[in-house]
Amino acid sequence: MSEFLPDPTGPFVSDLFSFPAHLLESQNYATSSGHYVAQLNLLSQTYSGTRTVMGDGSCFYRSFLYGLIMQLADEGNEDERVRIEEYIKGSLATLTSQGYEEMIMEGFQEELLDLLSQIPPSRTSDEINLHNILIHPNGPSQMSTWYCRPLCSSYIKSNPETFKPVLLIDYPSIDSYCKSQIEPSSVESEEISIQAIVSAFGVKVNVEYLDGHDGEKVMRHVFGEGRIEIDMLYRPGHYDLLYRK
Amino acid sequence: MSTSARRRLLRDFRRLQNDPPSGITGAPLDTNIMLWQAVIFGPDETAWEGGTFKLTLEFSEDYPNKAPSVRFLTKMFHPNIYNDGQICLDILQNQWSPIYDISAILTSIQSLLCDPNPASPANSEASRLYSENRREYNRRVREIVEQSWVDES
Repeated sequence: MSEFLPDPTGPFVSDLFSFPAHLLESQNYATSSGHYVAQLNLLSQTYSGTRTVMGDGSCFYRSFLYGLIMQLADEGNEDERVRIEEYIKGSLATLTSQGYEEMIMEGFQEELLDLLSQIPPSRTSDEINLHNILIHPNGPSQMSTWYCRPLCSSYIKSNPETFKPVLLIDYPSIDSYCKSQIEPSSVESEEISIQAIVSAFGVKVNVEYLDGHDGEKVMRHVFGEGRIEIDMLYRPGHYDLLYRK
Repeated sequence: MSTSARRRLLRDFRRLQNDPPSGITGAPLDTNIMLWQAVIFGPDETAWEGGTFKLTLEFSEDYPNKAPSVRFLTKMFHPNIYNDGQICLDILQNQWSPIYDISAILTSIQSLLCDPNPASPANSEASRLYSENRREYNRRVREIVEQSWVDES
């Protein structure tokens, strides 16, 4: 399924393109045997825009953080911005108490707090500026994106009763799962880690599951709940952002 | 220029100075914080005891999202170390995580010395001797230890 993976050297997150035209032009869905084109057309009843996200193993976390930060700039989401900022400020103490090295984690936390502090009071005036901060290769976005991983581990470790029954089927311990399946930079997220990250942030993520199986319907997976909702498109192995009409 | 890679390297340096792991030293070159030299001392009560093994660590602006490139300068004889000094270690490749700072990288390499991973051989002769003739393997390691005192690479 790697045929649909976008260029890993592209920008972290692309400009806003029209959906599904951009995906039909830039990916080889049309020549694929699956019902991808039909599914994309079905989704076009709901969505009109997409941003493609770098395919380096962190596409979920990158889509998540981008979608979140952009919406925190919306007027009316001031309370959410304050709430998320408080959560990030408190996260270091939790991570340290769970055995993470304070000095190392502090470096990531500072970058994410720096990113949150750059959110303009109104998105309408400064959206492009915020977009440029989020895609700058040497800016705070890269380390902030990775910081979502230990936050995800931390949530799992704080709520073992929720995750243990699933994790202990395949992994000897929660620690070993987090260390091998969440924290390495190149390991993609999966349902468990998505469930954990949306719960940790108190945000809702809708994933439209483009599997090519059935041209009559597209499965939508809903993770978490919250006032902020982030829409994503999943095609096997990759996440991109979606925008509603 | 202060980039996140450079800020993180300063942080790594502070941690290495404040809380130095035993048997490990390391510092950036005076002229370039992206290039480090380190020495790992062979752990006591092993065949590696007494050895002083030099390494270089080269960081890119993608650090800590990407692993540094780490190489032994001292000639080594070890199942997971190539002849050119490159190291076959999962945390430096597909299991890399920004959670590992310089201190953690060097500590992992130090424990790799006495605890090789037979599943990923980089030096076939060392691998073979390690599993088939431990006595000869240890003798070859002690030769490397003695060479490390005169190596001025």
